[in-house]
Amino acid sequence: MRYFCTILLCLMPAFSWADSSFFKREQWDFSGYLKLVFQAPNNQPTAIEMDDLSLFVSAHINRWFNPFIEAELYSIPLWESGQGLQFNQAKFTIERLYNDIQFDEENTLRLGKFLSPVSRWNILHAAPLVWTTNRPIATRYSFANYISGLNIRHEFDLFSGHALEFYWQPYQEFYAKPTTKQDRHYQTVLGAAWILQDDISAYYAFNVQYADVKDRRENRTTLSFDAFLHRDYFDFETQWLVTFVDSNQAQHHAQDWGGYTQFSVPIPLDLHIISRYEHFQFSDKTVANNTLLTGLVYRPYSKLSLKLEWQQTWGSVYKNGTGLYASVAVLF
Amino acid sequence: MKLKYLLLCFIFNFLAPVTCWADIYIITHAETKVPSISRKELAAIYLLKKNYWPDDSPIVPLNLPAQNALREQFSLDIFKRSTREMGEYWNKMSFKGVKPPITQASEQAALLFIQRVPNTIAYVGDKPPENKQVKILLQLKN
Repeated sequence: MRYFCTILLCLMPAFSWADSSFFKREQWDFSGYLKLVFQAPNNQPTAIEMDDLSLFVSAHINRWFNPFIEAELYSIPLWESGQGLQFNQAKFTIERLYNDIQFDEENTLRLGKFLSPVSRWNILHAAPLVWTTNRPIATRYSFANYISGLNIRHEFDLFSGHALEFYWQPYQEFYAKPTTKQDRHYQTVLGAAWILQDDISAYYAFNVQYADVKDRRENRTTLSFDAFLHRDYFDFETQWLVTFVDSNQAQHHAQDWGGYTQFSVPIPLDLHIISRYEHFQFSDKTVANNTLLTGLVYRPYSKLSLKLEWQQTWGSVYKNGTGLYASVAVLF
Repeated sequence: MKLKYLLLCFIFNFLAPVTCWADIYIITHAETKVPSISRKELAAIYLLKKNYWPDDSPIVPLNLPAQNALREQFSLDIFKRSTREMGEYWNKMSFKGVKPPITQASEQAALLFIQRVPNTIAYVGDKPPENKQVKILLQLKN
């Protein structure tokens, strides 16, 4: 019932303001992406999996009705060493479901389920848009990745993307993935993002987020900075964060902290060399995680990428251990 | 002596740029209540960051096909990015639910569209005659 109410709240302004142009085909857009992963981590079975098959539909009807929905099938195992071919599992989730109300050019209210702006990687996490098969721990582990509630955005400068955002999740996440795929579920979440620049060549942002963990006496306060720089001869990106953990569970440290730095350099034949280093200290583990990743990406078109990477992990291993990883990602 | 000049002309011919860029004219429907725009505003319009004219009517930017030479010139001039590099930007925007500006097959088609539909904006290589249907907002000199 509460899910139905959330959807209704998102759509209500739309139906009251929608005009006769509501069903014009050119106002609706259908697209999606898929990611096929080959992974051979040390001491684990080699496997091929379709990790994401995502479809999104958006529309721009008027100032009051700009809906967006992303539905996703994920964790679809196709083949595993010792078990052979398999086509018998798939999980489904609603990744995003929101409506944007544009009060004017500078001020937008978003209602529904959306991605939290704590990291640029989180906002643009689709496989064809990122350089590696594996995602850095800092971009996902410590904070609420999804918000089900509202977001208010104010633009200071439309061209540079200088903006301020405030968001609030009053209750809990709508259609949350199970904790095998998500590190924890959250109840109340409050946050703000100060985006200094977000244009075709650069992105810089500071973030703060407070989140209550569901079914646990734990709250987490995250401070984060992330940046992206695009130049003719390289892409550079980085994120560093600290999350203060207040919990009744056993902790080795008072906070999670860490970050990563990544370079992508184009070489001939539509190839790119990727290199990344990440350091991450978990509050509940004694030893920090250090990860070095190097790889090659073949991107003949901007909508298609083939990735091959080697990841070496030391210390506390999270979900992505040492090994060889490859993937094909297509945006359609 | 003549042979020397011929040789110099021959070498110069090879060194001269292959393409010669012309000016680009940013045009809109004559009824659009804006006398001119800046390069920054133009960029914001074509990145779909600025979506409304000052009188609150929606802006409809028109693009040319990805292979079009004038589009490449426009893209390099305004964004300092090739059409292909801009494709990556539009992929990211597509993930955020924003689709790129609509495309017209040729400059003539864009001009016809401008003449018929208010609030549209486009770019053309040849200076159009300013009349009751079309006006020039900006000239990008090269």
